[in-house]
Amino acid sequence: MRIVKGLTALSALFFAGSVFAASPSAQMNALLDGLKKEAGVASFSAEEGKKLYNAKRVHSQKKEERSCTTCHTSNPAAPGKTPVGKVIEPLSQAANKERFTDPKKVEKWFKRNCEWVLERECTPKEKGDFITYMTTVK
Amino acid sequence: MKKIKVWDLPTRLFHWSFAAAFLSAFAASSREWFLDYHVLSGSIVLGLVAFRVVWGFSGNPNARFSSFVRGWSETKGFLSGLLRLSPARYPGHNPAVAWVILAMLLFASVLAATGIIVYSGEEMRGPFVGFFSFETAEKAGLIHSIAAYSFLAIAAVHVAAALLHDIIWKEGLIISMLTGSKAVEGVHDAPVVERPLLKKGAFAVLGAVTISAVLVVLPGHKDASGFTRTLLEDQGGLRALERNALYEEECGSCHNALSPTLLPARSWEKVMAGLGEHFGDDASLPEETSAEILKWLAASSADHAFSEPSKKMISSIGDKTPLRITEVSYWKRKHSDIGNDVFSRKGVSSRTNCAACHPGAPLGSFDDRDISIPRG
Ligand code: HEC
Ligand code: HEC
Ligand code: HEC
Repeated sequence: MRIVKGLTALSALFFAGSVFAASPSAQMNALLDGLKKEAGVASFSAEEGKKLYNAKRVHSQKKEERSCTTCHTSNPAAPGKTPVGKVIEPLSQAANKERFTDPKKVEKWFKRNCEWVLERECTPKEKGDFITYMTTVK
Repeated sequence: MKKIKVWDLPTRLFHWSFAAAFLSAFAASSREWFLDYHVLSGSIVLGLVAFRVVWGFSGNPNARFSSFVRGWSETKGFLSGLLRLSPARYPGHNPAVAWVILAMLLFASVLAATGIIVYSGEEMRGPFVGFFSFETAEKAGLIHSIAAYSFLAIAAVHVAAALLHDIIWKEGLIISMLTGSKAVEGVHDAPVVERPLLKKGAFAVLGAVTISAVLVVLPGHKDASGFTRTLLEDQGGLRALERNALYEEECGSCHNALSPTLLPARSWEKVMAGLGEHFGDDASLPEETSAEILKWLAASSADHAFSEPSKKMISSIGDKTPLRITEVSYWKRKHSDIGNDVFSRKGVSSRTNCAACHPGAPLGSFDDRDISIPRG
């Protein structure tokens, strides 16, 4: 009897666990928690994220002004375009609910785009602020 | 001099439609995206040739081959008269133009036949897809161009001669092809235009129109679809490009995913091996992902593709290993008319944005009729 109960409890836990693992918001929360620990802060600032989004910088080799808005436009709810002409769906979660649901994808694009604009990776604080801004901006 | 009826209506109609159809086919050959018009005009030319051959045996006396095609000695006599600037007069076609007519009909038939082979073997269009290989079509294409310029040369001689006759000898030839009547010296058994023959003429015209129409209407014109598609698949020819979601996700975000069918597998290997430094961008991917994408790219690469552009890219690349489609000379040649200002238009942005002008690009189709250049 006890074994059966134990097994039920275990499978319930397992089930809950798999639901937990599959939930995008839970995955994103885990990413944000990790970033908080790395950055050593208690919370992120959407205001700072907005600043990063709009900050302009001249590329040391290309000598052209680059910014997140170069491709994503100054309105995060509007579709953007890459230099090669491919349309980019809006970045803000309010306009595009698929955004910031897949940590792997988010990390991949932070790596590429921060390198492209800032010629370095973004810090955990910058990433956290940026995600907070994009998931809250209306 | 008396004006008599020398050309019947079907002959006159033939004459001007033939000239118009040939000219429009020739004009439409200058641009890939006029191919539809080129093929339409070419089909009409073929129908007209068929009519003229029938009419050459059954038409009014002056329209019959037997009445104007003469042997070498008479032709020589006429030509030497012409050189002395006093050619013999003929009420109908003179012996020289007779050979011009036969040559034009011959070259037009060669043009139509080779055109059909190119259309089916290279463009994968039309009712005869699957009957001719790409290699056959390429050879036919060469003959097609030679025949076209030969035809043009003959036509130029013909027009010059007609002008000479009209300007120097005031024969009124050109106007006679419109009105049907011509002033003829001396007494000739005036060639009659018999009424019943008009009926026969109507049948011949109808036949010709049907031939043209059938060629144009037969299935297979819009895309390699329907029965032409099954025909191709039966022969193992057609490899419709299957879209690959992983490829479009990973390689279709910075630019529209490029068609794998335009580079050989060894190029794709090189592209995938250098994703960390990808044309100034970091496009790196996890090992498993890039291996899976490369597998699909290699299987869909130009080495295995069947379409005209794939074959032409391969022969243009030779044994090089280009990283870009846009650096291959075949690509450059095809786009040499397009200025930088067009590529930098807002709707295009870059040469690499194939889909801006080729909406069929994601399916591996760069078909001539599917080209639309954004205006802004
Ligand atoms: C050169 C063009 C370009 C620039 C500049 C750019 N991005 Fe992006 N970004 C993209 C593209 C392309 C995507 C992928 C779009 C897609 O998958 O729909 C993307 C996606 C992202 C994503 C993934 C969002 C998600 O969940 O789908 C993040 C995060 C991101 N960008 C952040 C940034 C930041 C931060 C900057 C400025 C430092 C920036 N981007 C600048 C082109 C750019
Ligand atoms: C981070 C952005 C990015 C990603 C992701 C990306 N590319 Fe590119 N790619 C570029 C840029 C930028 C160019 C150069 C465009 C130009 O010259 O206008 C380019 C050009 C190319 C070209 C040459 C096109 C030409 O001009 O003929 C090929 C081939 C290519 N990419 C293949 C790929 C493949 C395969 C992948 C997926 C593994 C991929 N790309 C993913 C940014 C990217
Ligand atoms: C600015 C618009 C534009 C862009 C961008 C463009 N093309 Fe083209 N392409 C054309 C036009 C126009 C033609 C027809 C040229 C002609 O025949 O005179 C053409 C012809 C072709 C052909 C030959 C088709 C045939 O059957 O003869 C191929 C293949 C092709 N393009 C591939 C590409 C690829 C691959 C890219 C992207 C790397 C690309 N094009 C980008 C406009 C464009």
